[in-house]
Amino acid sequence: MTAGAETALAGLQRDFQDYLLGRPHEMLARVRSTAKADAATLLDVYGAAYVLRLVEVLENDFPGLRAWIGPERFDALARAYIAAHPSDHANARWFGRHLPGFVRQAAPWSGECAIRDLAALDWAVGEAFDAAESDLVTFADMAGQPPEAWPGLRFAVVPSVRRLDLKTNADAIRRAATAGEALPEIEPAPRALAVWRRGLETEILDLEPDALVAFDALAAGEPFARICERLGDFHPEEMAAVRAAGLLRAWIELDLIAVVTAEG
Amino acid sequence: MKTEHRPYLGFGLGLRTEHYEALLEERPKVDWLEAISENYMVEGGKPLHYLDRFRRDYPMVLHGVSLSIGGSDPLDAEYLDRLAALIDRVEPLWVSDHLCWTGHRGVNMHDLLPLPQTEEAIAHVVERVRRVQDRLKRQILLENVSSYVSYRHSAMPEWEFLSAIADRADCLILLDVNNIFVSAYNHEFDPRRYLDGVDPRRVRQFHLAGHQNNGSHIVDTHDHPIVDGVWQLFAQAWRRFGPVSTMIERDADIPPLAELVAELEQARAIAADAEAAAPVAP
Ligand SMILES: [Fe+2]
Repeated sequence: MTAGAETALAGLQRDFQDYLLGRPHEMLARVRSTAKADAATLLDVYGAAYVLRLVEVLENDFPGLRAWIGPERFDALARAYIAAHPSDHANARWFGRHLPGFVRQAAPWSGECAIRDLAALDWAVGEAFDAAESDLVTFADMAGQPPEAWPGLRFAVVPSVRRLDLKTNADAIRRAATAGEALPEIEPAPRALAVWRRGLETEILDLEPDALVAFDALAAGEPFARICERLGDFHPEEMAAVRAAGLLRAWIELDLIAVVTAEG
Repeated sequence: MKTEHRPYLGFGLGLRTEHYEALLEERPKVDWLEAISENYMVEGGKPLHYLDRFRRDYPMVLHGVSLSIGGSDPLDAEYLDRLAALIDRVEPLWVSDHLCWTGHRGVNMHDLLPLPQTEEAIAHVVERVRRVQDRLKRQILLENVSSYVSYRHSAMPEWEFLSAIADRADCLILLDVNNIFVSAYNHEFDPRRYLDGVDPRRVRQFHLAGHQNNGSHIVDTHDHPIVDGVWQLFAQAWRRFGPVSTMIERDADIPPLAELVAELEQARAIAADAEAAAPVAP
């Protein structure tokens, strides 16, 4: 904005926003006191509500993380995040989307694997929850593929899929937290997860090392023959195609595969 | 007063996730539903599944919280596109948002912040309402918000401010009876003057809700049953405006659905009494 172009209305809004964001402001001079309450008390209704509302949004979006670090530490984390990342989206649904990145970088949170893992996992589950719908590949679709087409078949996973590589058993902690059960101990247990929505419910799949390689290759659109080749690093040659077909079958069953296309 | 062109839906509720299953199972006496637009501005999954399902069974309206019609930032084109897409999906009977601002300089405060009641703000809001109505190809309803502060430089009462905007922008009004009560208490004006200052031809919907009285001021918490004073004001509103589609908003400490349905019965009874006491002109 050019100098002097600010309207009186915009000036008021800037000042009010500065107040809400905890910056220097002149709002007290702009607001009337009443017979019952002074201006500061009335203004504080907005000041208190601003932070509390956003904390509540984060509580709903990060249930696993909150259960793990407890309400007090979560509140401190939420307030630090709110100060560092004022909302840049009109819809509060997306307010927390920078939090996984925030805890990767900001001390003291960044020092704890479980915090980083749970923040990423909670957000991924939230994204899968209301991600786009798609068609699903069925066994009938696959049965209709002629044998000579199989090496060239390419696939796409459903749009709700989020792939996560975690260093801990954060998925077990989140599962216990959302079920209201006692939390398990944190364990350094590297794992590769696929989070997605099946019907209306979100699911988490723990991928074995060979399944992980195949899944990422499939999701990247590599042809079936290439997926079999990659599985050759884990299995004898004659077993690789069997394993590939078995994995594909399981993923179709789990509503993970949205598209199959034959080459040419 | 001519009201025959005003569509009338009866007595409804705000659609809340906590009541999805009970609504499907209990089939209570709820005439219509109001859905918060932002809750359904997503790609898929449960929100849209249930929205579609309830839309098949109920007349539905959309109620937004982040249009920021009084904001100084440019109108959010992406938000309006998403709202337009949701309107295409839901085909709501009407669409509303609040007479307020919700953000500035690209930062959203996620609150319904009060506007100064000035000529400058009227002109600003009118121009934006016109553009929103052009984009959405329909009239919108603007709701009066609860407020806790009043600005020293405000130049007119809120009802004049709201009425001038509705007239000049040719939009409609969602009159929140609880918000009138709350603001009247906080800013020490007579709530009946507010009702008298609003043109019945502009009013399309009522909101009712509970609040929290802290003595020095009332906070619009939507976490309690509706208080007697608001019921009385509702009866007065009914006498003045005639049948207006009415619904209850509950957003915190959400009770079982049956409790809200009972509160809605109370609204029906009060409206019936008000109508019998002072029938509105045909
Ligand atoms: Fe309202």
